Amino acid sequence: MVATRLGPSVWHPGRGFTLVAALILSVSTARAQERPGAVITGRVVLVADHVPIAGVVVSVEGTLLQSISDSAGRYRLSGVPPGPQVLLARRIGYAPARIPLTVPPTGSVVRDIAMAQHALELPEIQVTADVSGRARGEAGTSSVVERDAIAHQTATSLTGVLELLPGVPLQPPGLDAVQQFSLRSVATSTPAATTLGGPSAAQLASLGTLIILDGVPVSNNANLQTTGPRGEQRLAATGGAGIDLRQIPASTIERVEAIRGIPSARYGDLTQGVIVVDTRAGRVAPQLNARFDVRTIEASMVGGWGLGASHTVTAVADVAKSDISPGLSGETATRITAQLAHRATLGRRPGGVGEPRLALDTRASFFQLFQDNPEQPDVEPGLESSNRDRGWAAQERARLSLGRGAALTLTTAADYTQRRSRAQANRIRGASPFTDRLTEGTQEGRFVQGAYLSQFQLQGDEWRLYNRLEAETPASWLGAEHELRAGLELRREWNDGPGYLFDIEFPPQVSFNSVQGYDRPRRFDAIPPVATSGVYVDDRLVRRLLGQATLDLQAGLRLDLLHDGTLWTSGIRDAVLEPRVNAQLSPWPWLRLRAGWGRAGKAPTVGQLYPAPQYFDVVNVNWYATDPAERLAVLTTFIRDPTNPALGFSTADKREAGIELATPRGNAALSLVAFRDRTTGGIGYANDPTFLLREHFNLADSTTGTGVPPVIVEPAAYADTVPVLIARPANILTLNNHGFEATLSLPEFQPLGLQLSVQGAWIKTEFLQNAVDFGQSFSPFQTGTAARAPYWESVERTGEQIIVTYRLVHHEPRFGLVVSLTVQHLAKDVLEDLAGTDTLAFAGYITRTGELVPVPPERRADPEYAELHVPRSGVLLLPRETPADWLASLQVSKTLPLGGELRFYAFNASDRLGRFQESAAERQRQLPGMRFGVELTAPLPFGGGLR
Amino acid sequence: VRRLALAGCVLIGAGSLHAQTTADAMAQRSVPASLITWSPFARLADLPQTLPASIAPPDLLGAPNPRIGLWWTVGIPGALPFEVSERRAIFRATGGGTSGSYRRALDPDDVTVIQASALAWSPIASSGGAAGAVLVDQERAGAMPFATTVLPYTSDPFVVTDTTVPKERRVRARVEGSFAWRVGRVGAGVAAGVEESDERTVDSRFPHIGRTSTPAVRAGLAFAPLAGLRLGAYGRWIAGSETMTLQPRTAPGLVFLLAGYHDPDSTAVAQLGGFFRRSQRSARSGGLAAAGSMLGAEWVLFAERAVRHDGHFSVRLSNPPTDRWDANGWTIGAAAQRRFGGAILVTAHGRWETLHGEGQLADLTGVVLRARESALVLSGEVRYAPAGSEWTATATGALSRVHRDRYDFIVEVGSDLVQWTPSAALALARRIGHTSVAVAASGAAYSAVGSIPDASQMGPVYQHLVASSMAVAATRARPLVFTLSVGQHLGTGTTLLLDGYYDALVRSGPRSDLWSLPEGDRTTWSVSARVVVAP
Repeated sequence: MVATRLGPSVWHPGRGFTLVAALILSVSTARAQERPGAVITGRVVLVADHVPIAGVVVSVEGTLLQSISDSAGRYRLSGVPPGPQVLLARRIGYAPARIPLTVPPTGSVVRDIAMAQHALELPEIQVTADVSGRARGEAGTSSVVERDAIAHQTATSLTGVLELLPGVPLQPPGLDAVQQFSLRSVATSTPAATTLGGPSAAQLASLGTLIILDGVPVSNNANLQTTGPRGEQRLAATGGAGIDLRQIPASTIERVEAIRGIPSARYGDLTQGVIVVDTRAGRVAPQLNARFDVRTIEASMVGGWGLGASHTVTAVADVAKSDISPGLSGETATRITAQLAHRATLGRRPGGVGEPRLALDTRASFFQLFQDNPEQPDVEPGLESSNRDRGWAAQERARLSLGRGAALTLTTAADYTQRRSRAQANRIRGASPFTDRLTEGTQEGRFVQGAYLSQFQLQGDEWRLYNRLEAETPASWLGAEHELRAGLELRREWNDGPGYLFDIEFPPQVSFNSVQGYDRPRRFDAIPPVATSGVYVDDRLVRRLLGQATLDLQAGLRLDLLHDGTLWTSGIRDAVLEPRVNAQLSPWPWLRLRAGWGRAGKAPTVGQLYPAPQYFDVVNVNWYATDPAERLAVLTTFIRDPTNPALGFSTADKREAGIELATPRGNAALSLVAFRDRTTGGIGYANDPTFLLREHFNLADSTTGTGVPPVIVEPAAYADTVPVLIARPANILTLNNHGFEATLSLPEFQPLGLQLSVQGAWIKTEFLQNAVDFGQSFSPFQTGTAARAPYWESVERTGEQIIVTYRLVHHEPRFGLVVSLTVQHLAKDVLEDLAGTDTLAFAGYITRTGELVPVPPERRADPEYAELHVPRSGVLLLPRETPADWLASLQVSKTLPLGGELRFYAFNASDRLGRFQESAAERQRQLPGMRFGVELTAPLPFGGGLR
Repeated sequence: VRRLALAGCVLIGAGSLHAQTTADAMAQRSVPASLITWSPFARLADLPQTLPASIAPPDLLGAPNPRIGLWWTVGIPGALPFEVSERRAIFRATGGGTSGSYRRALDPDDVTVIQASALAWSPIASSGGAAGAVLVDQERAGAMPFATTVLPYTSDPFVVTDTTVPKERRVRARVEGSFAWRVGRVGAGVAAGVEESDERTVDSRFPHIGRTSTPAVRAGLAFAPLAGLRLGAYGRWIAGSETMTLQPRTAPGLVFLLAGYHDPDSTAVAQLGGFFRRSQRSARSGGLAAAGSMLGAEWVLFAERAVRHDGHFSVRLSNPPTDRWDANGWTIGAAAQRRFGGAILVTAHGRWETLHGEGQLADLTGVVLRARESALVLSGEVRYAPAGSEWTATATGALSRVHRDRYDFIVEVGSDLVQWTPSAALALARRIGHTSVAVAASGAAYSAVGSIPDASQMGPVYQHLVASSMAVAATRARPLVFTLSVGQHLGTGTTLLLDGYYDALVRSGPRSDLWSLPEGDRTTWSVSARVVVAP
């Protein structure tokens, strides 16, 4: 499937949005007066003694329906949509209760709600992701993780929370390494990266997984912290892939929605899916949380206070430190985050229940994430590196209620991230000509040789402006209930950091083949900003069909634009139109048949749009005499700009189908989903062949012992061509993911308080580059005299994985105790390269002028191509299967006196090492080592949250 | 082999056969043994070689009166609903340390420990019961000589050592719980837990990195066929692994894999690759027990058969060559308790354990080391607490006899020691309003009779790493213990307790010419705060 691209035109998304929003808001006047649906009634009582609780707000998750319990604890909700729903009961001083149930199309349901002062004492606590969870306003397949489950996870950051999703491998908690997350993709990573060039499949997928934090996308698009394709020193930095999720602490998260399927048109700049993260806000009883792990120490604090009837202020802070290699090195990662949230509610919606006329949410946040690997003088002198990121963000969200459920929401945000990466190492280079020329031209160089301390810094200052205006309204026509939504998104991202800095005399690379030049410093603030915009419209309708059957259909259209200037009013460089549809048919309330199809687009990053110039230092004269005074080097510097004016969106065609079954009480559910995602136009480095003209000079007075260098005889005696490859960003990558996800939650076995849930995923990833591969023999060809060298078609790398996770939860509400045993079965893990590797596998040859000459397969064995008959290297020859294995983790949560809570966890509790190699075709599986720790939650005395 | 003739005492006493680290000892004395008998981590087919120790004085302020039964004495989970009728929770924070030169070659020095723990039990409705415990501690050793293995003095002779004396930090966490239900006359229950620890050297040029993982399960049934009689059956399983990695930083290091009394070859550890050692341990047991009342006294009898298989390997292969330690043994025990009038409570315990173990090296055929060991521990307590009085007094006596017969077939040298530890303790407590005070003291006289290898005829590794443990085991010593507790009743069944503990171990006999016999003494201290909630 090829995405629709719109050429340059005078399209102004703002005008389009105005028209669509006006249409939507006008429709609101035609909406029905009263929604049909079921009635839910019941009582809210204290779990210990069944005393009724008054003043509890009972709502239906994802809707505006809510009721407040009376003095007898009674509540009543009418017009509840059919199907699986979740009741939420909240009152300050009590743990929020969350009750899943299946609602019939008509009639009434009686459901009593038990509340407790501590969540662990609730009879229905959920410590895993919802099997059939639905993200708010989304019909695509989702997993919803609530606060209770987050608290019970052994998560240090968002990554740990996402382990509750099907098919995600368990990892030990901590800040040990960069944490980037990709939905529905196998990490077919680095071994073939040198062959494929550019990002790995995992990096491409993580870049295409959209992270939304409190309604605002978190972007890594302006991150330029990379040494590029020629870099020899690698950093634990995150340029060119998804954001480092270590900067989002789990302790500050209230809820996570992972939209694994087709997201609604509301979400853009993605290819894989969306992770929606809500941090803690509103009135929250203040509490302190401390974690003591063998490697990680963490403390966090949260508190939310009411300031009068209309204002709440929430403060969240988290400090964590991990020893990355304790006992072996002093490498550490430290994180500090803080957030202040303010919510003001002004006025009341006419005739509404609970929702204010205007709600203003203001957030200011700060994060700092340092990873330092200090020098160990007694082990490896000079080796040292650090990555130090810190940033702030400010956002404002204003939601204006227009009556009858219609609302207008404006979100505006600005954020800044300062990244400071540095690395140094002692390096040794052989005697070679050297030039420090920064412009094109020929000049005398000199010879460098020996050991030196190479140091470089990458200093990025990333800025981003983000705005979203969204209108929504319910409506009713043609016998269906509609939720209409339209919106406009505007983004502008740039980097004005000092850039890639080092002493030219001591470059970070030591490899020099007389053609490929050393890097030169580069300023980031010379790169222009990138502006993108998007406009979308979306309708979700629910309609009763025959009998109890209902149809839930969500359809939307999104247009994403990449502007060719730095402003949203600039012309359009590329555009992608993204239709998305999700349909769900429920013949009966306990059965849902679902299907979805859609297209999504991801804009190029700043670094891809504006790659660093590439330097070639071609040696014209190389006279290396014994006496340094007699040496002579002449080099010509060529600078090639790899910018690709045709670079545009990568697009993903996504489709899925599934079935869900749920018991009427909602205590057991089964969900099966098959999916197929195809991302085309992913951005990688295409090696564009071309050539440089190299002049050769004769020398006069080259007698040794004179103490002076020889004299160059001009003009040049002759010139030849040198083939070179320009690593140019291009839409050349294809990432196919398809698979199957299953989640099953069984009802609790009451006598033992045991509940089992199972989730698993089979995912197969195919990753290929639509470009030719010059292999590892190109460099000798470049510096030699051969007339031609072979090239090959690109390698297709496949990865296949089956992961099944079992969670057995034992809950004793009367003791406030939850014990969960998580067993993950790594059933299959195969990596395979699909490529010809024999001596006739070449596809053609490249000449010394960079011309590609294909050779038909039937002629490749001809004697005239004999010198091209070389085996291909860098490709996995056999399927590389990792033996199946499993690991088990244990979590125990227990209430303490005075409202505290103690949690113990042991990751890989039995400390399994992994399976060792059984045959040459297998890889060794080394499981992450055992990790354990305790967490203590204690209420803080300044309990303003209870007011 | 030198023949030793050391004076023995024939009084009463018992040393700890269990605690091997300062943190272990601290955890054990925090609660009376009967309160944690149910723990699935209780040792199986193992008689650790500990330093001489005296009996722990009774805890008169924080613990209930001693009890016996299938749950309290044998730890059968199914008996919990029959024997537990009240709720109690104990929260404790402790700091302490051990130091002194009277120690063996592989014992750490300058040890400091901080520890937090909680223990609770409760009936569930009328037919169930639950108990749980959690323990977290950190142990720092100012000098951790040579031992890479965390517990170098278990019955298992395979011990990893190296040539350094680094500082070390060990962090440990343990969680265990038991649930039981009763249907009519039958009770069924299970106890399970996991203990994890992480060890790392500090500022070492030959760092050790280690971790241990020990899951354990105990399950048992209790049956009450007649009034006054209960029968029990149970099974236990403890597995676990210890993983050790040594990674030289500046220069190659040397590792010695001890396996008895012969000198092992040294293993040079290069900077590239390091050294890896994994010990996988597994033990299981089954037992039968009976409890009842007769002539105004409660009684308990039990017998247990245990089997242990430990494997040690150093390479990452599917089927690595493995050094093996296989052991089995019996445990037979009895307890009785009788109240005389309203003021005197007499409790007596007896326990007899045997162990027969054989060690095999991966690269040799046949047994390289054989061990035949047994331990007998007898103890009795008289508790005097007259009704209406503010005073409580106890007198406790114990006698421990441990026989260790070990033979190394490679060098054809063995040891055969009978170790006696009679000990006695006195404790006194008084309540003054809402405040209570308790003081206690105990002492023991340790001695041994038998033979040990003549170190002067042994190899240098034995002389350096093994001889001192034999010398300490063969030398008379006098352990002493003093404790002081102060309690404050806080209302609604809650009591705050502050405890102080001090013990000292000194050589009591004349200076002998045993190879590597240490000089000086060894002292342990701790202070702790406890909150006891017993509504």
